[in-house]
Amino acid sequence: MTSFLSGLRVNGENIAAWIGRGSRRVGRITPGPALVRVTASLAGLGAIGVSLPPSMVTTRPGLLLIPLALGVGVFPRTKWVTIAAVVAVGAYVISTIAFDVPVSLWRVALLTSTLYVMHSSAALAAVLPYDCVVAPGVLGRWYGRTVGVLGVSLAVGLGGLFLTNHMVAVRSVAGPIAGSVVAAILVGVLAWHARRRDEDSTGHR
Amino acid sequence: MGLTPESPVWAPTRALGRAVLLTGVLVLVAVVIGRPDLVVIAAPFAVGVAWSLRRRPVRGPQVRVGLAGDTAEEGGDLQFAITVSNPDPVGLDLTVTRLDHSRWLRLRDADRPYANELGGEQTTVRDLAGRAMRWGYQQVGPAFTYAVACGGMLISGKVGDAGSDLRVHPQMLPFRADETMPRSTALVGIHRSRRPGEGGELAGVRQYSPGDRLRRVDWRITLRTRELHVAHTLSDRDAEVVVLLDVLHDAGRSGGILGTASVLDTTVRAAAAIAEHYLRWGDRVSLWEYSGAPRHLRAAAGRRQLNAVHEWLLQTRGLEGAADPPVFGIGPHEIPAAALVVVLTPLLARQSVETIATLSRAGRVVVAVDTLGAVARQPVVGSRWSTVAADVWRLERDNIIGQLREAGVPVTEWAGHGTLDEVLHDLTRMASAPKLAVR
Repeated sequence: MTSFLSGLRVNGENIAAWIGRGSRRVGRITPGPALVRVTASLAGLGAIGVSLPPSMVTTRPGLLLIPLALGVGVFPRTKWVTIAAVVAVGAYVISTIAFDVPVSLWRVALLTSTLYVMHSSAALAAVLPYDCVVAPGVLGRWYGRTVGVLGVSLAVGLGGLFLTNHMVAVRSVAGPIAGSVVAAILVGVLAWHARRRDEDSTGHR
Repeated sequence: MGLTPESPVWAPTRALGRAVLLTGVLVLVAVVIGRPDLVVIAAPFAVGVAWSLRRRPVRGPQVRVGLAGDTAEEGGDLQFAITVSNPDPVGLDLTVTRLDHSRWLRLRDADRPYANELGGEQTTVRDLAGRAMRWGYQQVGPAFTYAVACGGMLISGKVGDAGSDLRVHPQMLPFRADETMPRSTALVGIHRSRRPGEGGELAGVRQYSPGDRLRRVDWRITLRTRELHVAHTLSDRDAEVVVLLDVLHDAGRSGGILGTASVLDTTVRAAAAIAEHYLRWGDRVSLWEYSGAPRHLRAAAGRRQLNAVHEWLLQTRGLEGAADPPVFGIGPHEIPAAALVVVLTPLLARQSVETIATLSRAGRVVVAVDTLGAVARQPVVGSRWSTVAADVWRLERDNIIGQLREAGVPVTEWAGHGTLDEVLHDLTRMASAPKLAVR
């Protein structure tokens, strides 16, 4: 009994210390990182909101996903962001297959935009200390590049999607095989691109 | 001085892994279930990675901390700059720089990291200003920086500059001692003594006697009285002052220049003020530190000695393990017989009191300046037994002070201006009084 009570007291002290550290951190947070983290959380919220079937957004399962979305801004350096993105994409796929939600261009565009803004904001929040003073040009340039990448991707992607929607579908085995090869090549190229940094940074080209 | 001699290795961020993973998963699922809309969702991730990584930096950022000067006065203003440069032609999305520094340097906007973008082969300089809040060697640095490039896909390792020590000289507390010195070492100098002799201080006019110099004849009085009169002066004396810093114990909490002073603060600032005062008068001043490892600054006069005193005082430290007795004491044989010994002491250690008593018994002119001051009168927080214990301690301390006074050592609390005047007056009167001698 005594050890149980002492254990409770230790846990209480730990929790109090954790709360104290947290409140000190909140007190030191600066506008720049706060803005980036709030943007990441809101974008995550938007992505999950768009991915869910409209009938489920305000239901209990839908509301349970809100902490997942908000956690993106709180834990940008962890796998939380990846999990949130995968959950959003999974919910989108399931909603279109199981709930017969139509694949509309605006929905794809909105999900793409919110997912990428969440990813980009989380990437910036991960490298910015929460109490950092940020020069004005940093955020402008970062989000300018995000908008640029998003604009080009959406223009090409939605254009292609519009065209494929008006093409006649033909069942073929060659299509999935060719697509899989293209996907493998794409991932391989990106991975090689990413690994090339070791050679670059050590100067051995 | 760089802390990391080699260029940092650029490492992929979690964002890069996430982008590649999402691209692969989305495209694969799109192909398997025949959903081109998933490719659209994957597109910005793939485009972002490909576009960002088309040019990547090889070398990492560099950081330097530059001080406007390596010395400052306690309470004085400071200026220095942090220079971050990007030697690589590829621009950086941002660099994050953090500066560590002594808590006794109050620097505006320096307690937070600073993020700014940096183009290829560019340098940015951030000027910082602040104030030195306490004497001593105050560390400026190390400064660390890391960079993020390629749209957040790559992050560099930390590079740093160790920075340097800023020598903050103690504040000159206002101090004057107009009273005469009780003893002199030679018939030169600028101290007015109580003995007649060749000097500049007029003591009166008297009748001429054989041996008087003709240039001392006061012609106005002589003509009026029709008898030869000479101006009678007091001799000027040279003195040596030994300042003994008792740092066996520190007490009180230092709040810097604007806060409360610890015993160590009071001791160092008072020593600087006393030394500056007597050196300005042309006297010779030497310093002793009474600690576990006593130090000594040889007696000298002049501006150069004042600079030496400042540098010497910077190394004064509160002794750790103060219960241990010093390696060796400071004996009377090490103190000149005619020197005025000013002991700055909190009167907390038995060894200190014994040293003072020994010096006094050996015939040295010793003045004890109590540096504990207000700390001794602070109310004790705790149980009622704490209050009782504190009262007993105060009584014992008062008893020690009384015993020192009985031994001929005046004890006075440090109060800046005129701290020593009253005790010096008493000591001078005692020194000039006729003494009984046993023959």
